[in-house]
Amino acid sequence: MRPFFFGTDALRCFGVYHAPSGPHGYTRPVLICSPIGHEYMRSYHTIRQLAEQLAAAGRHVLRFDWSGHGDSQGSPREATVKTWLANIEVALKELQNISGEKVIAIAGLRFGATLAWRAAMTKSNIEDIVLWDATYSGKAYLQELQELHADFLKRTSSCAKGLSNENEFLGFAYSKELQQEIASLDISVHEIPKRCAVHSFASTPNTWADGNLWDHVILGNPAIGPIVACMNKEPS
Amino acid sequence: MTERVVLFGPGSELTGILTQPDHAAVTTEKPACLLMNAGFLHRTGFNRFNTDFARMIAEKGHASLRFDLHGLGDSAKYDGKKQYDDQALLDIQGAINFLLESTGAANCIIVGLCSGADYAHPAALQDQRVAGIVLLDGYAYRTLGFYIHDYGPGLINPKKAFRFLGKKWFSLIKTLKRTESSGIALNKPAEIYVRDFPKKKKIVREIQQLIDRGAELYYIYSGGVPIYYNYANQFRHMFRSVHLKDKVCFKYIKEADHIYTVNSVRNKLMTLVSEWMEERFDVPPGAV
Repeated sequence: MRPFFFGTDALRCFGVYHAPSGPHGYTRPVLICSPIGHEYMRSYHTIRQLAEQLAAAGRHVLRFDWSGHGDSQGSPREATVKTWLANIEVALKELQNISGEKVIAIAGLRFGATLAWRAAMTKSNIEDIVLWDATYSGKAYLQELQELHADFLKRTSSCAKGLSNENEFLGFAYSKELQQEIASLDISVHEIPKRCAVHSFASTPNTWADGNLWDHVILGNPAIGPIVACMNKEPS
Repeated sequence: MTERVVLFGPGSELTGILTQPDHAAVTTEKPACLLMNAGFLHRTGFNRFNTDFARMIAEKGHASLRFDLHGLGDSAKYDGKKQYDDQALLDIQGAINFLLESTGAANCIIVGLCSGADYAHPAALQDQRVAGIVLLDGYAYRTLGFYIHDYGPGLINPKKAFRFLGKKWFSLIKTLKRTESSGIALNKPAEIYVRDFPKKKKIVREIQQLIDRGAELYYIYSGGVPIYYNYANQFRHMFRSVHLKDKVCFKYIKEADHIYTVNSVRNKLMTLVSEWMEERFDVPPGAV
């Protein structure tokens, strides 16, 4: 496991590369796209587990922090979908350079899946896509975040209510522009180019919209095993 | 400001981000800052507090290291050979060594929330190079004032007061006696943030020890832990016997939840801690 910074100064991202260690020797590297906002925070450990298991199955894996998240540059307030798609592009190149492979598989969790799907539409070097607990409707996702934030404010001190503004979503502030972009993105599996094999997974139970659990770190997710197994069925 | 990924500790098993101000010379005069994990969250902290705070204080000349303890974030897995608390203290020791050697700073401040605060306190006790600690929702013990604030509003209503006195009086006295000395949690609904604290006597003794050696201590409590802290002056009442000697500051941010979710409240926290650092540690020009 090798943590490092990559990309240009303006789009400097933190990433972690996992070298293949398993006996299978699958050649298609995997780029993992994390969720955004508080879901990024909750799922950091889960994303690492997925990366480790894919690497143990013989794949090169790269996971990274979006601009405005984690250790990457910028603030969520400045982020746009365009920036995040640029993050994917830079990360793809990085993974291609490290692995020496041209064709990449991409796996995304929650809104990370939406961004992975959007990238797969235009990047001809992406040929497998994993949609994990994907936010199929951007509008519904934004609505869900708004409801969770309102629920959080209901439970918190009355003094805090007047301090939060309409552009905040559980600790992360998004510009109006970004909110519009999120709301306009709907995953349509039919639009994915034929070169891409699409694999969809849903966590059971799905706790993303549970107001009681929004600040709980996810330490293990039963969907990881099936995701790795499914990807391993198709050595390339 | 520059940031780089660093691997340190035995076998380079710990991962962190070292942030340094542009003018490297400034850092040796100012304490560096060690930013701790909060619970299971990785090194970027609650709602990215550690990243944002590291970048904010770099502008003021402080270097910092945010890092993951064993078993968290991107550090190596915890192998279970030592008790976790012992492993965590070893990790912190390694982080302090690395931070001071890398930056040339003579000493450091540790900032931690929740479990991060619980580790910052013993880490400061074992290492004289820790010049200050900022404990966010650190050790707390219920006081008489706590119970008045907890039950008080209900007592204004005579019906509620009667019911309260009838049902709760004996258990309240019993609980008060028990929790004054041990800090054991009350039987309230399940809370992920609830934790057991060491005996109060021990902590009183240790805080005094830190003060006597000249360490600066800043205790900040949020409104997000009403299960054990619920009014501004509770800190003073908890630690009446401690001689503060102008070394201790405490603050209650009622509007904050435990992980400072609201942006403006988190910004307020960053400003408070950064101003405290400036007030307590900034060396006037020409003084060195």
